[in-house]
Amino acid sequence: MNLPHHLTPRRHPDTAFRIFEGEAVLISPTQNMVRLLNVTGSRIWELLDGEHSIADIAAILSQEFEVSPAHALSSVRAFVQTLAERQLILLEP
Amino acid sequence: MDPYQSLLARLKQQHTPYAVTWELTHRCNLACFMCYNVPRTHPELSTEEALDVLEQLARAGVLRLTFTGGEVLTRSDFLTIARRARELDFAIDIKTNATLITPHLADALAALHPVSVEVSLLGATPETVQQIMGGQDTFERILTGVRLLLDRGVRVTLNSLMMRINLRERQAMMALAHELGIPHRVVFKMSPDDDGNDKSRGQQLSFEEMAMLYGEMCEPFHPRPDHSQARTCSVGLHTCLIDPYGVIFPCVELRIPAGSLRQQPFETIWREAPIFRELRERHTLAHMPACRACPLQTYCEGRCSGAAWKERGDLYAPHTLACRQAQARYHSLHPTEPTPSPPLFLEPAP
Ligand code: SF4
Ligand code: SF4
Repeated sequence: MNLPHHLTPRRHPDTAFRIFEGEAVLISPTQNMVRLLNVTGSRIWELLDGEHSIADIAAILSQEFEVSPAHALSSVRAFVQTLAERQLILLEP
Repeated sequence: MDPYQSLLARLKQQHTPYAVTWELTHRCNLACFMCYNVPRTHPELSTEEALDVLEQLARAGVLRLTFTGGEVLTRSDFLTIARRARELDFAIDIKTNATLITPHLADALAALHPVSVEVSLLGATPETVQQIMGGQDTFERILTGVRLLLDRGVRVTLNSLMMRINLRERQAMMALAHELGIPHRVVFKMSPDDDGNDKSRGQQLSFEEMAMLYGEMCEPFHPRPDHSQARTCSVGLHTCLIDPYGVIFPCVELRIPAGSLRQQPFETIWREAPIFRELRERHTLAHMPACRACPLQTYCEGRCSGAAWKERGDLYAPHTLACRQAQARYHSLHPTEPTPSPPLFLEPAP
């Protein structure tokens, strides 16, 4: 299922994180899990603040990483979906 | 190496502060006879000061924060500080004796989503626990506190410091942890007080007792690398300790002050304090001649520069407990061979 692009997901308040040189380390106490994100994933993570929509994030990524808007949108959707399944983010503000 | 381990290795190499242990208070509702905190008369950090420290740690990039004491739950503002830590996206661990946990407090602690809560279990019977920790109904209250947390899905670990007085109850403590469905960790290291006074020395396990424990525990043993650049621990590289008065130290044992947060910002102390510079530059086996020459070096798991400094006044020296532990490890792995003597045991005591 494709997530609607107007959704404004936000980081789950239980998830602890820091970004070290552009790479995010997430610690989810609930899932008892540490996860490292690559540079693109980390940038998406930073933008998951409940203010930016999926479409906004894709637009920013497309610009910053010089990829086509369509490719950026499908990547952001897939990534957000994975994070939501792992309960690292909330889809609703 | 898995990606998390390689990240940690990178943070150590870059001296990025990643994990901080914070003694929020030295006050405690119990009175363990081997407690190493030396209470002072000057005031502990206020709520306002503690909240400011949190902001500084977040800005410096610290991710893991362990709140310990004393007993953290004797601080009436503990939840205010811990909640703010979570808002600032720290991953928090809490060390407590669990005796002050009520259902209401357990709800509040669970809502913090700590990575783990570590509880000291120093005996498997009310009598032993009472003898070690004092208080009223301490054993029952620890178990009640632990169960209240477990009922709310909090991850709890039991830590047992093994001493002469509780050695016979180790199996029963393990069984208790098993019954509760939680991990049980055994610790050998009895620390002298923060001012070096070694009042609990008589409780330290002997070589034979340690060897027996190693034999019983059947833990895997990984010999330590012995090249000159190897470190016996990572002290000073990516972790530090803050005491209740805002003084920063390299770690819980190594009480050489790096600076006070009441006088300098965290990042300045972290980058510039002479003790951190010293540890980063010199805390390798190359500067530990006795350990380098020691026949038990690769069996030595417990060498601690803080303990060496307290016992010998020398960061780079061997110390009795580590040497005894290394002998015990050797003996448990080679029971029919004579156990070599580390250099320390060949010298007269200072
Ligand atoms: S056993 Fe003692 S002398 Fe040998 S390496 Fe360990 S601390 Fe150093
Ligand atoms: S081994 Fe000792 S000096 Fe090293 S970090 Fe642990 S307590 Fe500190």
